[in-house]
Amino acid sequence: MKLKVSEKGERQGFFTFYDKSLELYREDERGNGQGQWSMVFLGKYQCLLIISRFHSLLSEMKLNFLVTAVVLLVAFPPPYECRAIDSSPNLQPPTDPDGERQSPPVLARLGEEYFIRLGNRNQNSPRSPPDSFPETSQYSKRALQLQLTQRLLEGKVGNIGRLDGSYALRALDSEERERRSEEPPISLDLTFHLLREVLEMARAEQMAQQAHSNRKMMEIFGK
Amino acid sequence: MDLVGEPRIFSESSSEMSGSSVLCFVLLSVTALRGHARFLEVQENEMSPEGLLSLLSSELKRELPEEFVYRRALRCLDMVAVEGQFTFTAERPQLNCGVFFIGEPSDIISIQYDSVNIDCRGGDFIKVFDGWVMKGEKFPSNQDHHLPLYERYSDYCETGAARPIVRSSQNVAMLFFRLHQSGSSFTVTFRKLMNPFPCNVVSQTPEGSFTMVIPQQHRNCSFSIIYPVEIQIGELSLGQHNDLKRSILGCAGSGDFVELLGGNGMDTSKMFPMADLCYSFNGPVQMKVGCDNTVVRMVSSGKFINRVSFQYRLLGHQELQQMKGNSVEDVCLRA
Repeated sequence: MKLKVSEKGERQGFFTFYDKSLELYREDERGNGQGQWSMVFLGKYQCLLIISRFHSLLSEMKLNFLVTAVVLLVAFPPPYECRAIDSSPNLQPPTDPDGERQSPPVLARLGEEYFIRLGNRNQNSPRSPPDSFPETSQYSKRALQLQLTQRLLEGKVGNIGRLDGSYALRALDSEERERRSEEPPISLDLTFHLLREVLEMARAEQMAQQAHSNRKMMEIFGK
Repeated sequence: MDLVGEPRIFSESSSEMSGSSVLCFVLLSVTALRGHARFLEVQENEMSPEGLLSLLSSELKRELPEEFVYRRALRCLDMVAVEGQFTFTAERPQLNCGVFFIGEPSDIISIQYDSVNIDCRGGDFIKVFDGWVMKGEKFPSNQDHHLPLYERYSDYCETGAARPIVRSSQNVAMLFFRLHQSGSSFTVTFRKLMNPFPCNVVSQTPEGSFTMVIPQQHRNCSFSIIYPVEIQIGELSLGQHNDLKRSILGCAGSGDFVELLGGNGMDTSKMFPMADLCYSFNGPVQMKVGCDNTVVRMVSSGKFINRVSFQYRLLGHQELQQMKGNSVEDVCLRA
């Protein structure tokens, strides 16, 4: 990897201050393992350059180099790039005090494959509900689905979600966190199978309603 | 069929045709062609301006007679595809409820709060989400939607009084609500509005056809089919000129291309690319995607008018078994 560094130097007295806009260009894909190391070296090079220049100046005054280095590092802390170049871009990991408190979602009734997840912070893993509950995986059959659908129709679905008592607390700073993270604060957990079931029910309802309104129109225009 | 065009005005030489009856005929044909033909009470030489406006404008409060509005009770977990008024009444505390709304591909969703009787300070909420969220994955994804995530949620307790009507950007939307006290209730009116250039779509059916057009806009559009389907792309037109040179660099370098994605979630950015198409062609190209969610996604730079036409049909059980047997690696792991 070829690193072309453009530096905008600015002389001020005895020192050359390198501007914060240090640009690195990756030339091509011939990468080598030194990539990371090279960037770190560059950062230190900049620091060392400042130190060495100061040293050459002060050696005339016959001062200890160690003292010089210490003084410089205290007075002129390494520029931002020295640290930031080899660090991950995510300098501030979002605080997640309630990450450990997250318990797996509760399945209120056997056979129900859906639950609501609130404030999911680390739910990137593709965890499907039947896997978390081995007893339900055996029952992922059509008959149970139909039973569930019928239960839905009758409105007998109880509280199937996870009772998250800390939701109120999360709501206070949820806005800030929402901006930083891209996880939806409120999400519905459904399998695709169940989603298709309710979709088909909605379609059937739409067809029935369309037929009904068509009939009404015909009656009216027929008069 | 959807006709978006100028109504044709028949020029009649006969002086017997009065102006109002011509207008009446024109309006009737326009609304009939839209599929929203409705009962029009016309007395001779009398047409109220409200009547005219209500025919043409979907946004204004419709003057539909009460018996024509579809009504039913809403369930805690529900999907709504038909326009009407929906009421949810909590018989017991309902803490986690979600309702999906879906329309035709060329619709956008409009949800209006009619009457809301909840206790905001007691922790109740009603939120409308611009899109669908499932298992933490949202459709459309961040790359395909113009709003940041927190702006896609619209909370009734915060802005509901000031903004009683919430509109989505595509043909799907969701409603989340939590009611602590039994007896709390709310009523919403769900409408579908016309969208001349639909961008992000969830298909209501496992079979169908669609033509996606991105007219010189720098955006990405996805058409999501939540079934394993075989897709047949009939025509792809990227750019004004048929530039075959672009294909040499591969689709990644091209600013305009179409990709076929397959996956088991709603988020298109987390799905696996099945095929990339970055040059125009005519003639069917088909592909079977045995995933829970199949997406046709078009990326557009904004310099050209891009268009893709495709059909899709559901893959049968036999075909899926055959595909599993044939493929070396199964990209979509089915539970």
